[in-house]
Amino acid sequence: MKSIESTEITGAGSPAGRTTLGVAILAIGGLVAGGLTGCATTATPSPQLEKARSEVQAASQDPDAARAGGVRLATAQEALEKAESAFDKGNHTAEDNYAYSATRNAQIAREQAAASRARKAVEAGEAERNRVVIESRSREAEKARSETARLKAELAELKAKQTDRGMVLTLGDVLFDTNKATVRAGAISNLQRLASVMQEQTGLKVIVEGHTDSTGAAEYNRELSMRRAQAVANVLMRSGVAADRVRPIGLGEDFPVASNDTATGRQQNRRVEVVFSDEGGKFAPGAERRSF
Amino acid sequence: MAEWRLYISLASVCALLGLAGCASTPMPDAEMARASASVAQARQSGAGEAAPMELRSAEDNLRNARSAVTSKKADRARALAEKAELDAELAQAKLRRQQAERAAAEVQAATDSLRQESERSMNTSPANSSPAREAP
Repeated sequence: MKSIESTEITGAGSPAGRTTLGVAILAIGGLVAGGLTGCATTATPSPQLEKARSEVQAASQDPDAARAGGVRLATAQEALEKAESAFDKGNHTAEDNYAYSATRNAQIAREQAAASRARKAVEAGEAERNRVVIESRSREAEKARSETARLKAELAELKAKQTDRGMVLTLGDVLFDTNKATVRAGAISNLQRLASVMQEQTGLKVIVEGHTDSTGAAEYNRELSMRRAQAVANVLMRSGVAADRVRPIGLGEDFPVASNDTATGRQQNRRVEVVFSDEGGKFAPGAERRSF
Repeated sequence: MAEWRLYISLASVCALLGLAGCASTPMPDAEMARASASVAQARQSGAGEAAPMELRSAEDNLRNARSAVTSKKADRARALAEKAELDAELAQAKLRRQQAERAAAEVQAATDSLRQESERSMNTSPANSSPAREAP
């Protein structure tokens, strides 16, 4: 606007005579009458100012820019105002400099807004991760609980009894013929069921105790009970149970469960007891018995 | 008389310094220092990878500002130094955004794999597999 005015005035000052002067006066009058808007349409903003306008607008529309990039956004808006007023005054250098500042500050505000969104996503992601960890831990715990319950159910199915030595399965003397330490063919499938429970419950360990009645010499009975316990252990190991999970022990006649004076009592005393650890391989205190 | 002499000597100092240096604004030393510090910081923090164009623009503007100082163009030097500083700041802002976005993606990936793992361990839980002891 200024430059147009001064051009007109230069024109008026030139030695072109009165007609030119009159036209110039008319032109100036027209410009004044047209007002500022009429003036502004004649000049075009620099590409830098156009860019500044669109960048500042974009930053203003960013929902996070005011919060996360407030200082930069305000600086950008201020610089844009100065660029606009420099443009109005025709000061191209100032227009360009302020437009540059407006553009960059608006861009920085948007970067700050985006960074703040990303940091929020980090926080949300961490919270989500913790939730997943807690969830999976409680699932693991639930799984462990159900495994324990299942082990108990399986042992109960084998007719194991809960005692203060842990779960104990009593196998009657039907396992063996008299004075023999070979497991009867008919008893093997029962032992294989025990073996398959042990294969599933890989943490489970057993003590296999051989017991006899009091008939015969104690030393012989101890030896026989040991051989019988070993025979049961062998069946388990042949079925794929590792040797270190099975401990055979011969207790002879030292731990009767009934009177040795009657045939029924003696039959009850001739037995193999399987003492179970928990699913972690730990036996109850007092689970292990020793011969006298 | 003394005053007259002072004016003379001042005028000669002006003549020595050159008209531009004396009459126009002083050189933007503070702006130059700030700009070169910002550009150096942006470069060192690795903004060159996150915002190569901005960092290059910052370096160009800083170089031009220095040559404007050499040719005693104070206003031009100030404007260019300010542009260089803004470029460097934008480069830094882009770098920080990229770092934050990368962190977000990493957390997301970690959470996803954790969830998958947990789902996998759920599927292999013994409750879903049939017990082997059904065999005779």
